[in-house]
Amino acid sequence: MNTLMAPGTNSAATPDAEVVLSIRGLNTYYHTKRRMVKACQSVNLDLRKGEVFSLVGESACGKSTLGMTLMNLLPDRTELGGEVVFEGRNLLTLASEELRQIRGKKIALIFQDPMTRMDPLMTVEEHFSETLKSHEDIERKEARRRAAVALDAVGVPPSRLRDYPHQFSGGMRQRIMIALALVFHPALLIADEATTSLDVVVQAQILRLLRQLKDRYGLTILNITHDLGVVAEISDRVAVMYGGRVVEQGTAEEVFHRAAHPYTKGLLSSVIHMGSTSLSWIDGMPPDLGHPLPGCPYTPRCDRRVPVCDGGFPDERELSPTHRFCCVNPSGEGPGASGGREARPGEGRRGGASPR
Amino acid sequence: MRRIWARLKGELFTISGLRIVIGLIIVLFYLLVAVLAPALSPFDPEKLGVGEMLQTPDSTYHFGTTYLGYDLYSRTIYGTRTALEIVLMATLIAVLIGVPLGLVSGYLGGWLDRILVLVMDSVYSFPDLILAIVIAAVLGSGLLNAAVAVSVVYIPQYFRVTRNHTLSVREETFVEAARALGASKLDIIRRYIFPNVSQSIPVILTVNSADAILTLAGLSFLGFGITPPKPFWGLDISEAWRYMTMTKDYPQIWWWTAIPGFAIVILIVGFTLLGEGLNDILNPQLRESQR
Amino acid sequence: MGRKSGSLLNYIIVRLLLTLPMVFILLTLVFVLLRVAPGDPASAMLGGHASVQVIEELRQQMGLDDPILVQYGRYLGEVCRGDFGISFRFKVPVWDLIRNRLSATLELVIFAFIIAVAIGLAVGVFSANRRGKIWDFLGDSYGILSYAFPIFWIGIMAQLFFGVYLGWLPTSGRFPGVIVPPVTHTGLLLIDSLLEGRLDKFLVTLKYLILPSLILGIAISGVFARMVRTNMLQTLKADYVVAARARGVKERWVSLRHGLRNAMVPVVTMLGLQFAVLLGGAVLTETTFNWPGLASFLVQRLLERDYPSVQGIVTVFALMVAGVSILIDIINALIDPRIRY
Repeated sequence: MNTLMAPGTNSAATPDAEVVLSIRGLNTYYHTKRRMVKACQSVNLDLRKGEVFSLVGESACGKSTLGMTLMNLLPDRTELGGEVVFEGRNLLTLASEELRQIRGKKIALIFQDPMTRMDPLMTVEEHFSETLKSHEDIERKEARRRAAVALDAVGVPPSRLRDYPHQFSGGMRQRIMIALALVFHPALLIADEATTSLDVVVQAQILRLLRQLKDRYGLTILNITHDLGVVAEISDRVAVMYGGRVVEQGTAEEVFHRAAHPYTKGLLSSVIHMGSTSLSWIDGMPPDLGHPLPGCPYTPRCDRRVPVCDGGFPDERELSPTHRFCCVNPSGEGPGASGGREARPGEGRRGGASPR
Repeated sequence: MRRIWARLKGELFTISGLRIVIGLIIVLFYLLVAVLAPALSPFDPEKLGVGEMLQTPDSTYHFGTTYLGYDLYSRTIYGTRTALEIVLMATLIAVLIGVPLGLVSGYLGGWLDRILVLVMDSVYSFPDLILAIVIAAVLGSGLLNAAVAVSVVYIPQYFRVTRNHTLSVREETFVEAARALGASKLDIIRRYIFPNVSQSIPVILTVNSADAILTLAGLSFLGFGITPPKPFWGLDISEAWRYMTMTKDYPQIWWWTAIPGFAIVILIVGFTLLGEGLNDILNPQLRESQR
Repeated sequence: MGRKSGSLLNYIIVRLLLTLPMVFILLTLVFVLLRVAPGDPASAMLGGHASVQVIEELRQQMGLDDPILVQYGRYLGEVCRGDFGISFRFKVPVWDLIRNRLSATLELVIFAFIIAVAIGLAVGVFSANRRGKIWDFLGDSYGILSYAFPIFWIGIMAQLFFGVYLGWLPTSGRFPGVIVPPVTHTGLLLIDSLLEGRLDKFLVTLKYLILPSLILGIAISGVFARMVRTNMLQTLKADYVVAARARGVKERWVSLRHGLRNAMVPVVTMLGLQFAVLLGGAVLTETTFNWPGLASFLVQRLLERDYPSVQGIVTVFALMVAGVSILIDIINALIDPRIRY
């Protein structure tokens, strides 16, 4: 199995590094008028200091919801369960004022589309000063100085502090968002599809910037994305989400080279790479989180499914202290093809594999 | 049309549905009263001296009488007729002029469009009531004249909405297809554009009707359009007020001003609720109760 | 950024030029309306008994026999010079009549506007922050009811209650006849009395001003409140609001700075339109409260068929509306930097 770039070569994190954020049994359920959407179910993750942890999955798999849940930026009618432990406290049970003090200062969030994420009526400097003054009692001059320092660190000329968001290019805006996020040197940065809307060149710049900042400030980054290339380039550890659940997690090297869960294998094999003469994909559609299945959510699309898959969500299994997954019939064991499906030219329908 | 009905049925128990129901009940009630007016009112509304001057409300004269001995109850009932008649006429005129102009202007574009937009915008930005009273003064009194005066105020609204909608429908692929097939402009407008655009009209209709009543009330209060002895609520209030300021005889005749006023308010509320309810359902962009 | 003031000025000039056609059209409309009037103004003025010759003379004098286009040209020229002709009824230049009453209307309208904005903002922001709860419903009801109640009716009820029943406030007029009004600097009695340093005159003016402007202001505030609420609800869902919260920005700042300020952009535009409604409402308010303003004057002139006066007054109103429209555009450009650049 080839991937475009060699993963996991920049790991500063070891299994013994200090845990910055610990997620245990997290459930996030949206209550809409007609039904309850189980966006995240029983998520268990640890984020260690100084690492880049990537959360991968297709659209609507729950990964963005997870990011928003950590800072409780969800709409009102959301039911939360489990715990998110940060600095010894469960973020899910904190009072709103305490939570507010953590947001932006200890844990920061950057989003996908920087244009809509900035107030069009406010200058860059005003964005900074409102953030700074919300957490500390500082003067305008001091705020301006710190803003300039922050901008400089991300490569934006501080002379542009007085400009408005619409006067910047996409890449610059994302840099500004990063500067805003890091102005208090938080312990954790959550990047929710931060490079998705940028073109490839700018994306590379931003990723390089993030890596530099991480090294400089000892930052932990939770990188939420659907782009496996990005994951491969900067991640130390990876978790794969499907149907609101974490189905596999491990170091980047483990997940990319020794994927156990059929979904992970399918995902990896659908990446197009140089020299391929055929396309590979996973049949079917992502699951409807409003009507979750009793068993493993991947069952309808899985080519390694067995009858017990419909019964209940599989327990977690370990391949190594760092590599865990949830599947009763993982690749490399038991019946079924070894993950993914390749189409030969001229082949229309799926042949072989388990009957429906 | 079927689409609208289906959506309505689904939403009947939400706040929007409630608004529509209440609004509809009110409007239909007034309509009923207007139609059955002769049967419902004990006296001829325009007949002088059917009762003593300024009698307080009692069992014979349910709403009391005015200075000239008119029975307020009958006048209020017949007032619904005047109100609905004029509003209907005014709306008809405004629609018949505004919508076609909007369609043509939106579809054809060019200098015609530019001029029309300029004219319509200018009229639209001018105070409604002032325009109405000038026109009413110029035309003289009478039901039709009052209707025309009121209608001119609303023509720009129908024009604008129709034109905007036409502009967006014009770019749809099926219109392009029709053009490619050689359909004449008139045909395209008539068969493709109008049915789509007409969706937005019912909401405007109801909201405009509410406003038209208000404008009409103002007109008659100031002494334009509808003149005595025609029964209309605004007129009654105006007469009451003139009498009060002249004689300073206030407390005794509270009913003369209060009751017609309530008649106006309730009808306007009815139309407004109906219009807003329809708007919520037909234009769900601002759907707030998505809980 | 030196560009800032440059482009703002350009923007203003462009807006000004664009409003000219609108004013032009309104003036034409006024002209056409008054020429269309059935009946002959000259004979209406002189009454039915004047001889044909006298009527003819008057018509000549008023230029009514000239071709329409000539009259139109003359009309436009006069407007540009500020000459609105002579009033049929009072035999004095129309402009003099207008001038005296214009400030009365302005004072009423401005005060009412301030009240409307204050109430509208308060109710709008309040109900936006309490969406779905009882306050929201009340705010909504306020919006509908304040619109549905006719101004003149509320005015009369208010007069009856506060003026007659409670006796607190006067029910008609702008200033009591017995006191000397303040020296005219601006024409706005409130300001003039302050300039003169006479607090007693200020309070008296306020007593007369408060009821009519409150009524007019409330009538306008409903629509405004609902607009503020609707726009705020939309802006509060915006991405930048979520992002601001993610940065730990204080909730009050999020609501007011991000929510309200952005919501104000479409609202300010709408305020411009509301000014026209305000003028229309002023007609009713001034009549009900016997306020000696331009709007009530218009009604009288119309009823008496004093067409030069009517022409002049309507022209002034048209110019006011156009002026406010430009002002709104400028304010919008000041608030929203995207428009300028």
